[in-house]
Amino acid sequence: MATHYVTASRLRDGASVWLGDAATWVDKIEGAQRFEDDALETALEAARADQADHRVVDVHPAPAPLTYREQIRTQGPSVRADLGTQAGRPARADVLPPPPSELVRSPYAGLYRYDEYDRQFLRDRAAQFRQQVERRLSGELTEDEFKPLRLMNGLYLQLHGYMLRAALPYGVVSAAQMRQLAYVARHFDRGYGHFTTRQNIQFNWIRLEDTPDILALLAEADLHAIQTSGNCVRNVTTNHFAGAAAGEVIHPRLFAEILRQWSTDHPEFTYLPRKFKIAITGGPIDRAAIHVHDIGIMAHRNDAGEPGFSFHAGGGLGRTPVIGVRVRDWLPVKDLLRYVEAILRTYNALGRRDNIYKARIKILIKEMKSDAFIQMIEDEFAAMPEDYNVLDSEIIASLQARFVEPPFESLPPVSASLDAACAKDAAFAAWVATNSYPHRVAGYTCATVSLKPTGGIPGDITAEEMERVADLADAYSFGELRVSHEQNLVLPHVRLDDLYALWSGLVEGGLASANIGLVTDIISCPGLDYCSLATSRSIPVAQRLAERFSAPERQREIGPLDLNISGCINACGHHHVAHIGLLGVDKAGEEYYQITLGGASDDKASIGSIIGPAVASEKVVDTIDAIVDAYIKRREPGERFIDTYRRLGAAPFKAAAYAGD
Amino acid sequence: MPIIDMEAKPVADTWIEGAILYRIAAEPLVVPFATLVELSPGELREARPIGVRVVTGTETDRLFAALDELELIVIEFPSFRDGRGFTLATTLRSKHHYMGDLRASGHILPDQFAALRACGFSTLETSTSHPPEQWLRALATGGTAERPTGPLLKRLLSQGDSRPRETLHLHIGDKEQG
Repeated sequence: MATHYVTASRLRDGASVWLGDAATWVDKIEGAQRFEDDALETALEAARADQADHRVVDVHPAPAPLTYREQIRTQGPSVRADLGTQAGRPARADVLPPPPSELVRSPYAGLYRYDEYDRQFLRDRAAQFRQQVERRLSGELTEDEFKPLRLMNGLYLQLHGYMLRAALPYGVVSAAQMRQLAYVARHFDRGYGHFTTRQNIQFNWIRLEDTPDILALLAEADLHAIQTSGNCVRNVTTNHFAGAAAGEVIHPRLFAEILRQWSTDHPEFTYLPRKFKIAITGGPIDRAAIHVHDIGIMAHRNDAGEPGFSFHAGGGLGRTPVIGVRVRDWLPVKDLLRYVEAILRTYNALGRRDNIYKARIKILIKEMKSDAFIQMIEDEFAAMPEDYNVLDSEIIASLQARFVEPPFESLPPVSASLDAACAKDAAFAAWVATNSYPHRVAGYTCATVSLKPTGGIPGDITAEEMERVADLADAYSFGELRVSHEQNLVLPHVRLDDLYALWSGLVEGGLASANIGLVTDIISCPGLDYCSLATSRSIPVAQRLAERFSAPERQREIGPLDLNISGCINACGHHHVAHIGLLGVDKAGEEYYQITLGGASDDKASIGSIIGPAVASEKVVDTIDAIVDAYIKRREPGERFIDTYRRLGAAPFKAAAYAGD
Repeated sequence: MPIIDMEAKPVADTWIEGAILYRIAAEPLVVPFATLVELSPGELREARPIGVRVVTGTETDRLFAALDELELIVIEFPSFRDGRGFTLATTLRSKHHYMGDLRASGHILPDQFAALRACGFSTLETSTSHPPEQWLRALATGGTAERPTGPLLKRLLSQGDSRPRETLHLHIGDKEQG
């Protein structure tokens, strides 16, 4: 019996290729050769010689018949029949139109204003990566050496090709930048992008040789892909209503920017034991999930009324979900960088490097006991020279000045035209109820654009949609947009009087789903349709659930409910902190889903508990429906799902979920 | 393999590696960290210069205690992805005010040149896969060379500081006596 194929990814574009007759690589499985057990080693050896020649990477045998994962590799995403090997891979056009960055920038969008140094830095980084790609293609760098360098520039090798993850620092993106992203999606990818839970954007169909050009294009729009991957300090995230929501103690984007500048290309902390994620929230409400970050920072005031921070550390999801330990109750603003540096220095010296599954700071804190860890941070912090990296008020003011306050008008707190429109149009009123959030300035509101339409892919957005929301942001939100960690977009500063016009524009573009915070506002990772780490396809499950609950009345009846799906134990879909979490697992080649209940990522952060045996993929939707029904039956008036769960425990939901078994 | 300084220029290397027993000779001698641990501080006070070779991850308190006797510390990187050497170098320079030669060795990449310098390394040991000319090229291309400035935050943090930019990260103080 011929039992195996030999497969690899093509270095140039990451496409899956198969060893055919006469030791050539072919794109389609139909032309692939099968090898007997005794011939497999020889074939693999020949294939690895090609790897040494730098034509392919990741040579491995694939059993025949193919596993589910390898089947997806041979074809393309099961949720996009128009993409991947199944649909062919078009070449890049020779001549491209001029990029939008040659036009105007958005003057008020809540971005940190770059200066010529910042722009040149990004151009230099793109040029440096161009040289690294050339050295890789020429063979001067091995794949082993190149991999961390490409990862530092956000370039992954996934199931069907290279994926580029561009950073949207603290989730802010201007209309002009959004148009540049649309340009990249259209001309270098396949016409769309995907927003992630880390407030970044991913492009899934990138060719290695194009990446230096893409990075250069992003640089012209003050965008980059630096530190969106690799074992370094990742994109610092914050509350998506930062600077717009009422009641904040500090401006979290300012401090996220300070942390970004401090951590970018940090000489000491670029080769950490593992990736490192920091979230900061301006207080008092946590919308940035600070309890499940390596470092979570919350702003608050002390008794004297001075602003400062409290710190959590060692939180995280993944295979070992942990709620962070409170390591400091109070830190003056001026010591922010010093304290973060003390934590990172301790972690870098002591974090495990023998086992990547035990390399996160959460494991270090667990192994050391938190008191001993806190003492080490404090010792490191105390040993720093007094004048080192102090954020005095002048420094903070200088950086603050780079954020331009939008020219808000003085408006009455209510809008007669909005009230009239709501009274006239029930669909609009429903959208306002779910998709708007109170603003700190009278007469304004924050509007959320849902990227979770029924039948869609959570977080995906086409180039045309990017351009539409960019135009709407220019018209109604000072050219400013945000990406939320729930994979939606926010127009943060919309006049109440403009809300109806904005909504009408979204309706035209099919972007007016009124489901923010409801059961169909599902967070989902890309899963096995794209990701090389995944064990199951999370997107189709999200689609079937959205379909089941698609009736607006039904969603509103259920009320606020977080439902998140991860396609593997790495938990990119944040299932642990969802009210209802789904984790895809592979059981002998079949997709099953483990259900957790009771997770939360807010001020009362908690990790959900598994309710029982995993259920088969085709039974997931019925099971969730039964759990939701059990909640509706038992809830008290006005009680959210999570509160009913906290009051009653898992028993009634468990009984409902497994009633038919 | 050739030793270079942080300008990628070759450095004459007079150090020999060996055991402490050959103490009669006069050449500068590099001993393994394990040897250092066995010796009392008095035994290190020799006429000949003494250096030590440290693999990152070793218990370093003994190293910190012996700094006054050491003219060279070689930090060996088991893998370029293992960043402990950067923190060890920073700690030696900024917390313990070590002023001797600090040399990077093992698996290091020319792409890490700027970071190695910023963390306080003064020389490095090249390898056959990354010979001196690759380091020279890394120095010449924009992205790896140390910049004269930095983003606004770094410029402001270093204002009024006359020390060269590459040591700002370190805050090397005067070496304490005794």
